[in-house]
Amino acid sequence: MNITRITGLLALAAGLGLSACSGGGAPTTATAATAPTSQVDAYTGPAPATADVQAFDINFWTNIRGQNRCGQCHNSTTPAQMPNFARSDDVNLAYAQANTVVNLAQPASSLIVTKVSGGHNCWLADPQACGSILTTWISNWANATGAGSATQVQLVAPPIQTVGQSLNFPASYTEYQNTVYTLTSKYCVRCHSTTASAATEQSPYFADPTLAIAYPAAIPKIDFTGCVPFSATTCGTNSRFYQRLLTDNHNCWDNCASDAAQMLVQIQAFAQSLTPSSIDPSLVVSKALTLANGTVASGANRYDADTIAKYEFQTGSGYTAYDTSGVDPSADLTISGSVLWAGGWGVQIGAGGKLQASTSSSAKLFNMIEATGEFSVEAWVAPALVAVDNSYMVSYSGGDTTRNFTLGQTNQNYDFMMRSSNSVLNGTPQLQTPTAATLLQASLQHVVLTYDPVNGRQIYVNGVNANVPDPQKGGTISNWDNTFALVLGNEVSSDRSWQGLIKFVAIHSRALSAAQVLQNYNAGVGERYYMLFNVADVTGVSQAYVMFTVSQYDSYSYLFYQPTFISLDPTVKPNSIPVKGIRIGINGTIPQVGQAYIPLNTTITSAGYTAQGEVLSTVGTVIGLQSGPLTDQFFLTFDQLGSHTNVVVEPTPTPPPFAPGPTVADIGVRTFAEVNATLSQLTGVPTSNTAVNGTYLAVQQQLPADPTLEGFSSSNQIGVAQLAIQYCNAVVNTPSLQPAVFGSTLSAGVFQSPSGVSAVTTALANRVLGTGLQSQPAASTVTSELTTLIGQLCTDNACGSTAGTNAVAAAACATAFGSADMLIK
Amino acid sequence: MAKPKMNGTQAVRGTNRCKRGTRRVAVAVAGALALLGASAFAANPDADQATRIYNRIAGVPPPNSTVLSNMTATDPVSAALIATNDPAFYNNTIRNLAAPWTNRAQSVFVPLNDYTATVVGMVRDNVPFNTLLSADLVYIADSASGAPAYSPANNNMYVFLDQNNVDLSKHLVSSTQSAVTGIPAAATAGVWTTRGGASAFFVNGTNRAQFRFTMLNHLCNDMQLVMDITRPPDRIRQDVTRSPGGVSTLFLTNCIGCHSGMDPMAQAFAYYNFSYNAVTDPMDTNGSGQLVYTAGQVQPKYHINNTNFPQGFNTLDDSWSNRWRTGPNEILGWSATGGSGNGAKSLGVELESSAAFASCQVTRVFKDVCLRAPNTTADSAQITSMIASFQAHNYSLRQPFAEAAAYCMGPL
Repeated sequence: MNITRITGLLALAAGLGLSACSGGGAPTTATAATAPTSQVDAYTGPAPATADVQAFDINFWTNIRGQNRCGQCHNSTTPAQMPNFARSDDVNLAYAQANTVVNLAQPASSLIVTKVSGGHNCWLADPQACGSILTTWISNWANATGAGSATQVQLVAPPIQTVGQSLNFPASYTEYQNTVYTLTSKYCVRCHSTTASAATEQSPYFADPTLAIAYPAAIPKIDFTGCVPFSATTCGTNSRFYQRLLTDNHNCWDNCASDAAQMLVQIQAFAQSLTPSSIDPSLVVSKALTLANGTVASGANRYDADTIAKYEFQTGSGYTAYDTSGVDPSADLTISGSVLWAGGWGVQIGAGGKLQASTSSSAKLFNMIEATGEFSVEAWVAPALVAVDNSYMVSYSGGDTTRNFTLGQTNQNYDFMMRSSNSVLNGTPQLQTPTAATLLQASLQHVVLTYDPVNGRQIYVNGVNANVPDPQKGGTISNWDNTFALVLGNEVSSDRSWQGLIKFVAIHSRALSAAQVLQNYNAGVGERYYMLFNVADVTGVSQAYVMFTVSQYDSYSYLFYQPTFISLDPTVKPNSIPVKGIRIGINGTIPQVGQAYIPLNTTITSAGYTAQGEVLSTVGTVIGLQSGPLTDQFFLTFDQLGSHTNVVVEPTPTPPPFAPGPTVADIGVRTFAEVNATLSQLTGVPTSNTAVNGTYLAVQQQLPADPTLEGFSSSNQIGVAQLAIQYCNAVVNTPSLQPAVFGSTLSAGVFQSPSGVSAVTTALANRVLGTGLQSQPAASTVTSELTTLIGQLCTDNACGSTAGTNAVAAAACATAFGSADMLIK
Repeated sequence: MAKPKMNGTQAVRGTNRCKRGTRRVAVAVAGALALLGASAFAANPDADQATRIYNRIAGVPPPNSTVLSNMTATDPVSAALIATNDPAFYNNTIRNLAAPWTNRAQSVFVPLNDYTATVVGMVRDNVPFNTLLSADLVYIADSASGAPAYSPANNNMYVFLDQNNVDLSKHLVSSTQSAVTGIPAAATAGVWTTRGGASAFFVNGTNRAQFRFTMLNHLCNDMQLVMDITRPPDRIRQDVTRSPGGVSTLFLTNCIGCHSGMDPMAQAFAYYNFSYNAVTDPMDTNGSGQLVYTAGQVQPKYHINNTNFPQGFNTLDDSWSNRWRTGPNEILGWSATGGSGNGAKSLGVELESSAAFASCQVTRVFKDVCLRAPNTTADSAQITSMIASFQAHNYSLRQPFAEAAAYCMGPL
């Protein structure tokens, strides 16, 4: 980006503004928002004198000189409205006039673009779409002559507005309804309304009976400069509503002077019904700006030479998304289902929504792509979901089984389906970005599909080729179908819904080269502004600004990045200016969230300062949108700027008070390893015993992992029992361990006498309960239970045998050691 | 499937059919309500209290009457310290305390590794626990254990110790990571740079996991508890989209809350990666990877998906900054010095010097020993007391174990 200063820019900007708004062209009495009535007549005048005139001819003049466009008025005959850049008698004369209304370096800033975008005789229902189409034509002209490749942005000094001394438009339209609208709804409604007759309908629709339409359209026409503090002589006098009557004598209803005075009264009443925002007077602040006060920074440097359909989604309302490629016929998209216009240009597509062109207008894709045998699909998208399949973003197809091409999504992959001589009619097998690369992210991405017979299909994401080999390479696309329709966000059969944000789509009749893809990626999407926050008063530096690049990021926020200290006075070389802690304010308040420049701590030095200014930070941040881009007013505050300081000190937080919890048992159970260790200790069997260790590993995760009683379950107990049995088996099979557990070495028939039973149960109880512990059950309760158990077992077993004795002893052991007497801790 | 739960009474009945057990629970609950002042610790524990202390510390009953007698002959805290000599305290209690810290699933059922062993060794040797995230330290098996030699490329040494039930209280010896792994001493950072810590939290991803799990495991604050959307987002990396699916509100109300604090601190790990052979062992199931440290060179993982928000922060070095020293997270209690630095070691010092770190260790020990979270004002006061004592005892983790066991030993 190159930035140049304009000395004395304020005057120039004011001049441009006056020119743009003064109705210097044809009276805006009626819109030409009707279908073309005629085509361009054959040209019989002199040949273009230069290559630039020829580029003008091919790319711009031919498109605008028709009777259905600018040629209706700005011609050489009747009414010969000046500047007559659309005259058809002499291309060289038309060229000379056109140069007064175009800006080849910044096509979007051309007077003709701003004029038409503002509602001046657009041939479509949406002036913004006409502006975009004009921008495309001017860009093509500029690119053909090389003028567009050296784009220089000319910084324009914004008007000086003090923070808190300007009013903010309220979100509600009530105040407008009670003041200015009382006049507009009465005297302007026959033209500036969607309900006006086709012959007189004229945007903007600030007089529309629907206030939700009228109020946003009226806001740009009202200027509250001079209203805080209130001055009856200045408040609202910059308003377009006032100036249009007073200066332009535009359709006055009585006497223009008195009509203008009435309008001014209403504007001032509107202003006085609002409460001015105020900020802390101790803050170190810049002057204030709205987005519209910024210098437009976008609109150039795209490669669009072969664009045959383009969607920029700037309309913002209604059910049509215009094809702004300027290539007829326009393949305008009709919106249906869950689709919302997104802020900062785009459409947010929900489940089931789609945008679809007619098959007849879509046929231009077929015609132009068949002629070249190659094409590209370019889109800026932000997928809302990353776990989907059968989800189509851009498709030129006839249903879910037949297509020419489709850009789709499968989870975090982009899919490219295309019919060719090497594919089936449904365009499969599809080319897909590698799954492991997860190239598709739920963020705004630039994705381009290209096809040509030599290289086959290619997928670029954010300017980088995914380099997926195409097995269809070498085929032809002569088997495409011209009866298909272009559709976004779905399949034409509405069963391949895609959800997310689409900010831009273009179809090219050539395969973009890698460099062209990268060029378009770097050009970005959406409108960006250089916002110059005046800090001359604070720093004492002539025409000093902190400049941000700003855009509306989506429907909910603005993107601010690359703050740069710059003076528009080329003689200035600022030095030793400390800059600390920048905060971005909006509408008199300082948002808590998104303040990325609080840690900033730097000093402007003459060594670091260049003609491009001195960059303060390279990072960007998003700041929440409030009223909207038309009305949100921004300013900056500083912890320190130059010699002025106001360091923000955050309050010390107070720890939350202790919150008592519910009463719970203060005893619990041994967990898995503790159970294992305890059983090992009770039995004397080492945990490394093969049989025991095998069982432990098998039941480890069945044993309690949570020591609380509340977490104990029956399955835990089963695991404990299994492990206890294994340990006791080991004891029974290891005579040396038996005395410690059973009181003596087991002998056959020991359970056949009460004394024998008593000796074993007593030993087991003592072992598991410990000695002298009041918290454990009485030994007798344990021995009683075990005695009963042994008696029952011996009824069914041969307790006289060694095997029977061992089995019953193991059971008694496991019962004792697997009980809560062991488990509770 | 969730396990069916029993209440305390049911559990006791179900296990020993002992009616006295039911009464015991009631008594115990009542006991929990009794407020034990400091004076209660002055009296020697009786046999029941000593047994409970031992059970809570080591997970097993006192091994013999001699040990029990020794415990009843001294004050409760000293009695509890006796219990910390039981091998089960290290092989079970400490090992299972630390095991969930070493994996993302927070499972206790994972093999022993150098992270866990280092925690065990630090407790055993009274190594100041507030060096957990910064020390050039690792505990390895001694030669008598028969374990294979330490390798930074596998976990075989610790698997051997695990499978052979080796007594960790006897067979762990202190060493330095710089000596056994080859990582520069200045790049070592306690358990973060052990193989266990690296394999769990430096593997794949963006290294944010190491920070998030540290907050969870060692400051007892998962990200949703510390998220603060008012911190400056200037250090949030480029891979974090500011408009998920085209809705920046999601970023401004959620993502920013964690990333604005986490990303500037996780930058300290910019030179670390856990590398494994993605071709022969795509998921590192063979456990053959090892920690890689590239001094002065930021790992590529810090730049993946950098087109998600090109205006985001581009990581160029391992400098870190603690943005939570102001704002709501000031209550985490940061030390007087620090706040920024380079590399993991200094970040480790920053975190382990915080009041939250000490509080987290003590509170977790309390819960481990008392089998409940602090839930009364008396418990809260006890925690405060234990934190002070933990710090006064040079961050020896055995001390809060002993004091918690004494506090929860039950009524006389």
